Amino acid sequence: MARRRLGARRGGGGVRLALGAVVAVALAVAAIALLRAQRQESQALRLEAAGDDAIAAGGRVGGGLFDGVDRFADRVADTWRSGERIAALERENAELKEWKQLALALSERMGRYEALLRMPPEALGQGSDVKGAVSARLILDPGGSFKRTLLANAGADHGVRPGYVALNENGLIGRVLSVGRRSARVLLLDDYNSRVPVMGELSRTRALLVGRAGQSPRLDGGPLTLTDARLDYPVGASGLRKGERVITSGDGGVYPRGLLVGWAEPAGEGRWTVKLSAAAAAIDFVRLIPAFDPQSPEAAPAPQQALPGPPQALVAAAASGAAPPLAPPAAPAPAPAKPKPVPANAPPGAPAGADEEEADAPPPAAEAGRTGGGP
Amino acid sequence: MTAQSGVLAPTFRRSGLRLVGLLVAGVCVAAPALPLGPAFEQPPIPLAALWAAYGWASDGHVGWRAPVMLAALGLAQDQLAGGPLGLYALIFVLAYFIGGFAATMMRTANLLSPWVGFGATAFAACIAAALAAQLALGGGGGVAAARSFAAAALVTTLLFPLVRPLYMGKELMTGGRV
Repeated sequence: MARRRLGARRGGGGVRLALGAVVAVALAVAAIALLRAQRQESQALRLEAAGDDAIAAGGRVGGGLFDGVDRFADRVADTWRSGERIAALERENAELKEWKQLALALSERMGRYEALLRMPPEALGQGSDVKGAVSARLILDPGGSFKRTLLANAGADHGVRPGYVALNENGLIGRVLSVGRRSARVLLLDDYNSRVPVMGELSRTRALLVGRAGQSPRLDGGPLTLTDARLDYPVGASGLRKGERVITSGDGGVYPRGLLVGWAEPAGEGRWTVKLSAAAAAIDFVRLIPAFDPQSPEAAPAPQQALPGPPQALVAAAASGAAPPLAPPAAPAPAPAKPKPVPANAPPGAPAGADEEEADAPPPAAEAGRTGGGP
Repeated sequence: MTAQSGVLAPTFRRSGLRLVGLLVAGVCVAAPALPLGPAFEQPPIPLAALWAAYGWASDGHVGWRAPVMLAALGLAQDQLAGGPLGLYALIFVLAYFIGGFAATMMRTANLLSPWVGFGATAFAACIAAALAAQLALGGGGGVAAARSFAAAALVTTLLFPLVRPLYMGKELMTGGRV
């Protein structure tokens, strides 16, 4: 009896299974069509951003609940060992004060050097106050095997734009991929699609940081190449040292130069990996700073001076049909300078006649550079 | 009345277990996305949707709802992961097909057969994931990106005997002997 009932059930189940197979085929085709449609990136990003906003709202509720539990557990643990922690923090604070003084002194010296070298100001995101920077809290971790992203709770309403650079107190995390009204999705450094131009801080070895979807990112030793250009040798990969700080190189114009990425680790056979600095601790808050956007000369042209025309003598000769002069008229020869007397209190080695006026004048190379001369 | 309750009780129990199974699958889809630990060092969370795909494919009573629910779970996971929309949905629906085939092949009266059938389904799902990721991501990224999927699929396979009652009817677990 039971077998007969089971047989009947199986018969009905077979029909349902066939119906399920038809629906599954339709869904599989729809999924493939959806995947292919996303090759048009703008539509996909818009769709994804709309979904992110909805998830962000849920994440805020869920995250708040988890935060509450975390805070309570932290408070209980902190009261248990508060004395020990206060002593450790005081020690750390004293050390940090010394480092702060050193950093201030070095910063002041660096500022003077840069002023001497007439370097243009550069908005380095780490440690400096960057205009337009937004701080945000992590709402969702990467939730899949195929893409390494996180969701932050700041979006277009807060001024975040696609391409913003994401970092925290430990170093670089990634960059903003898509932006909803109140959420932003950040592509992490270890995503398979992530490529970041980096360099060794000491060896100046240039390389491309390539994400490996969950493993430590690999350093490609090859140089960044332009279109139709090829170099057959790696740029100084042998100079890279184990444990060397790896920072962004600023090449390519997305990431500002000098952001800490991690530390170089040899991986055998001449290959290198990077131990990510952002992986040192759980990511909770992120700082989103505007993308480094060096404008091309064509994007913001300066007022150009007209190119000098042909000499008037040539124009006149061409108009009259006469033979052009062989050489422009020579400038009057300068008179030889008179040697000036050396003052009695001048330091040894000082040039004759090096008075205050000449000392303030820029050196010939600088002068030539400023006027557009030189080789 | 008592006889009627006796007939209905297993049905209700089965429906309840299916509902719990669906909830477990939903939690496993959402859990990796919650900020519970370091973003770069997350343990592989089981792909409960694979359990559902295999169990529901071998249990014809779920019918057309099974692939629809699997596609919905896949889309949710895609959205949470920020991945290409439709990738997980495609993988789970393909796993439903594969699971149905494997369950038919492995329908014998022992405890090991469903486990082996699920292992074969998970392995085939990894291959399907690599191919689908290649389609979605391009640039040779399919195999590399499918590695962590394979790690999660391994954990899923190891845990399968513990959660099997949530997704498979008793007659399927014992080769049809009720």
